[in-house]
Amino acid sequence: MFTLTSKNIEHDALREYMQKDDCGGFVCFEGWVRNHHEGRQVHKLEYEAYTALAESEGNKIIQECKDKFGVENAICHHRVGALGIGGIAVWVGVSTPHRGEAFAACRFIIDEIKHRVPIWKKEFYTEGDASWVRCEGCAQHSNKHHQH
Amino acid sequence: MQIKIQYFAILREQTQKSEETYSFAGNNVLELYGEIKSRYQLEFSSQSLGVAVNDSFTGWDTKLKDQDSVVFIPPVSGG
Repeated sequence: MFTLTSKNIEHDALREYMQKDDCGGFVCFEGWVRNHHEGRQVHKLEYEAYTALAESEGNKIIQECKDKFGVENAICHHRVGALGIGGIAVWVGVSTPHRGEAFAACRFIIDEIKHRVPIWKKEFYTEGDASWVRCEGCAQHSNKHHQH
Repeated sequence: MQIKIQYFAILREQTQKSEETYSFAGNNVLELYGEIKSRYQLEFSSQSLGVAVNDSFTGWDTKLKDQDSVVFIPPVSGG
């Protein structure tokens, strides 16, 4: 399940949700808001999403992950709205019987989400200006992926 | 035909619109973007954008019909 949320990500509750009796391992990735980018001081971020397509594409990635790695328990929560330094922007969790597929599946989900899901990040700098962050090559990646 | 266009992120700021209904006499989404790019003097070429019609990713040669919903997708930066 891929979820967009405008509320703080409650990582303890999500970790508890991922605990399964048949799983011996759990891998989590948390994306945090850092205070710098390309040499500039950042004091907050804002995330904006094209909700309908972000949710369908995010869930497609989760399903691809389940098919590719044979995992059953994989989720991702992604924030929209404003976040301060240290805030959790994205949370990916995978629990599996053994650790190997959990590491691989977690990496797959965050990498695909960063490249494919229509979510945009705006950085606000301490000097007072702001700019949309561009993931160079992502549009081309997206076009290649979706043009069949 | 009438096409609903939604704008997000940098395109929302450059067009100063979240959405509009646009009267379009052309054929496909590439032609539509050509008109929109010229109208708002957008910096992005179609090669640097993705495109969705009716909430699904699609290609630039997709033919449009009346009441379709279109989103031009600037480079994403989630995560």
